[in-house]
Amino acid sequence: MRGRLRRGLLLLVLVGYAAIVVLAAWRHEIRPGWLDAPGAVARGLLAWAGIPPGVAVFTADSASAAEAKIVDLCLEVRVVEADGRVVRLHPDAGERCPAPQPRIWVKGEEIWLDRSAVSLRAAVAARRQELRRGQSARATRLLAEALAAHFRARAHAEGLAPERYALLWAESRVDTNTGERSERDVALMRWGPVGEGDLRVSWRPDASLLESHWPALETP
Amino acid sequence: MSDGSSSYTGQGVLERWLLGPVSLQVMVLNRIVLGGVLFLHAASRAFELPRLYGEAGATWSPAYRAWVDAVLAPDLAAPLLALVAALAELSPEMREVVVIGLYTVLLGSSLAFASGLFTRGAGVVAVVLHMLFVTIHPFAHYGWASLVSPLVLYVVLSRAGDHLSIDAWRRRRRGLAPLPAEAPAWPMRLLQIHIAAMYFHTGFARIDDPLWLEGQALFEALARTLFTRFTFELHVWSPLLVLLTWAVFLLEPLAAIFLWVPRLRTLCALALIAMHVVLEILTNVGWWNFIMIAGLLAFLPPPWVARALPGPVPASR
Repeated sequence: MRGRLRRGLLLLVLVGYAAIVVLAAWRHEIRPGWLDAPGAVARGLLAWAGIPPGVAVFTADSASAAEAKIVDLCLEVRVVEADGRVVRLHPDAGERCPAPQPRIWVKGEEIWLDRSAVSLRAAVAARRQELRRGQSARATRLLAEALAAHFRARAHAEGLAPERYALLWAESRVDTNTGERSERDVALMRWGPVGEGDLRVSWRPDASLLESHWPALETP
Repeated sequence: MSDGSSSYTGQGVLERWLLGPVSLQVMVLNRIVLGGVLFLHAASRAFELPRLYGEAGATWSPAYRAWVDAVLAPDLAAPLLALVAALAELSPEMREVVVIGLYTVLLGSSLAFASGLFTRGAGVVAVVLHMLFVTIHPFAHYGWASLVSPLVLYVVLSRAGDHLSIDAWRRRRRGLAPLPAEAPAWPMRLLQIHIAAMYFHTGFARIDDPLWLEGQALFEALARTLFTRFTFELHVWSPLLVLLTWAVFLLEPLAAIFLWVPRLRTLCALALIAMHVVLEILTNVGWWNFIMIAGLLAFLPPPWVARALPGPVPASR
């Protein structure tokens, strides 16, 4: 009797766990929200016990750092052409991007570049899920990589021989206490030709590299 | 419940499928592969330890930790985040000592798990420390680093340490009889369900993705120096890459179903293994392909798996 009960309970636990694994694998928009409840409860308990999740201190630019939220992201691409000319790709000064210099604006599903509006719909659409989930900084890094891939593909397809590219992205934030917006450059991706037909990307999480390692890009 | 009268009911079938005996071969192989992956991954970073997890890099800077919190905290386990927060409070000198100590334990426990020494305990310690290092520096890891944890736990829950292990060798030396080559199926079933759920997730997440619908996904991936192993003129291969993209686009969501159809299971598992082999050759995505291939062994005929093992772990089913 006890053996049967134990087997029945084990079966129940296994079937329940398997059901949760399968439900968790569903697409984000139809995945049951209650699956996230245990994590939220664990974080709530830690917060209640006064244990911070990680080191939640924004030191860069916000008055009330812990309350600051990343609200938007701006991309900037500058291209050094073969003749040394620096071209900034700036489709839209973008009121969502408070910095005065031209930026690429991630607008819905498209990134607009200068002169002709170049749709990177495919690259961006692949990251829609991250954008929907509000994981904007990660989405931006992936977007930047997609952008690098796009340029590389274009260079191959159109026989372009761009000398160097730099892509800088910034996070704009809003202080939820004061409503003040601020912006900080968080990363630089640059890439240029290494061998024939090859564009090599290097990624550094430090925007100051733009000035120290690549002064030619500073002023158009 | 286990008598003949109930064996053909739904519950009886389910009970046999989950609790009936299966050979331990698949779980033994998964112990060796997953433990080996944890060890090799950690060992391969030995020379980068100061930069990745120590004071030479930006890992412990408030800005980096803030970035992790803002971007990835919902995806990371709260207790591990709290542990990382506690580490961040230590002085740099003390933190360095603790990190090196934890890293050494990770190396030892993952090697012990792979070789079957105190298998269960070693597996739990290895996977917790592995996830701690992922939490310390999540941007230094691909997605496989998180997926591997539940798979290791299924192996820990099985009796994968009973064969082809140091524990089994020590048992023989003490003159004890070898342990049974079969065990209840449920840890292997959980492994199978998890692997199929993974293909279900990846397959259906991209079902309306223009990049995949237009056949450009593989081209995009190979154009990224982050992923590609080789740089070559991609446009020459564009038609082939489109065909391969569409093949993967169909294979992965269908695998979630075909892996459970007896007539199609082996063919589907072989196709997926072939896909992972090709991806491993072409792309650099960490240990992803190795752990998926190890998991797919659970869908192959047991005699095939038996051939991969050097020792006598008899195939029963």
